[in-house]
Amino acid sequence: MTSSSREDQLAMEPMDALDEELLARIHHLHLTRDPMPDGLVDRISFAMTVAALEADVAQTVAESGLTAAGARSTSYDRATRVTFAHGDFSAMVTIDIGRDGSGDVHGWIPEPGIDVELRERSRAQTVPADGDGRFHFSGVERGLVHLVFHRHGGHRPIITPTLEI
Amino acid sequence: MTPGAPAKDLAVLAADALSAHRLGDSRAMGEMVTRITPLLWRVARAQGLDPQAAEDVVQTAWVRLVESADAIASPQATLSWLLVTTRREAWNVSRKTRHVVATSPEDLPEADPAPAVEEAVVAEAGNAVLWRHVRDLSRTCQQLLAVLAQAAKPDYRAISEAFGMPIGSIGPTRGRCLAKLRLSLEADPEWVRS
Repeated sequence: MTSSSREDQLAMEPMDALDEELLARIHHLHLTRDPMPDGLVDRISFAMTVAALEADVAQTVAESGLTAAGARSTSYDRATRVTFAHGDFSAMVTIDIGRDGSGDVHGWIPEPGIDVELRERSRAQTVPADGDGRFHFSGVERGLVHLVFHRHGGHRPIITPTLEI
Repeated sequence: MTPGAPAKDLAVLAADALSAHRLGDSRAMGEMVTRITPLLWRVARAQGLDPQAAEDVVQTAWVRLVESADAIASPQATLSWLLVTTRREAWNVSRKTRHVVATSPEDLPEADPAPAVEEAVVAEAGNAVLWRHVRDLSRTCQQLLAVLAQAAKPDYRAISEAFGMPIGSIGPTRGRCLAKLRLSLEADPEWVRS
């Protein structure tokens, strides 16, 4: 039998075990030799959020980590303070990780009357900043989150880069 | 493909997520991105893009989905829309970066779809042989097999629209591609079916 007629015959036959095995091995080769870059899905989700909100993205202008001393009876294991800015807007956020593993987010913004939204992977909650510009979220699950500042007066919302809780 | 079987999972997932998103509930968007991005990544890579360009293209497709959420005629077409957008965008990018005038994706010269792969240390000889023969297939075959291999239960309608290939010809094309692969493997003394 010539190779082309053999190819024709093979091509017309239904998928058999070898076909399935080859597809499975091709899939395995792709996964192991050409995997998606780490963090791709998170970067895409962030880009989609920015697009959906038509938001401006704030820059991280300062970040410092505070680690609690092991034996001291502090309420947190570690804390991070981050300052964001976009144009004349700025915000300072402190993230404390409690002993139970969940996060506390305290923040301050220098202008009152702003609604602050915390976006977790599958949920979001919004609180108004108080008269002093302070806001607080407790019991935040570990993971990657963003804060969105909804300003009044026709300003575009401002979203922070990813924060790790 | 059996109607109503899990075969349509991705298409249904995408349809439901976009429908809910249009109504203001975007909670399902995250799962959609998590589950469909690997497929889009494979489509972009199979189009010959390097990893950075492939990432940009996939991200662009998702951002366009958000921007066009209300313009997509039917949420049922969301998966197809994503695949088509990714493939078109990948084609545009690969055309620009190669400075080649091409009239259709199939007319592009055979490019290295995954240069990093060849540099990887080949640990398993059988896989290396298989990879080499896969890479010798036509671009269309490589793309189709990549997408079929990726999706446990491929959605033929979405693949048909993404590849501009009638649904009825996906099966025969798959059969032809696999037949070519099997014959070339058979002819290679280094190929040992493990």
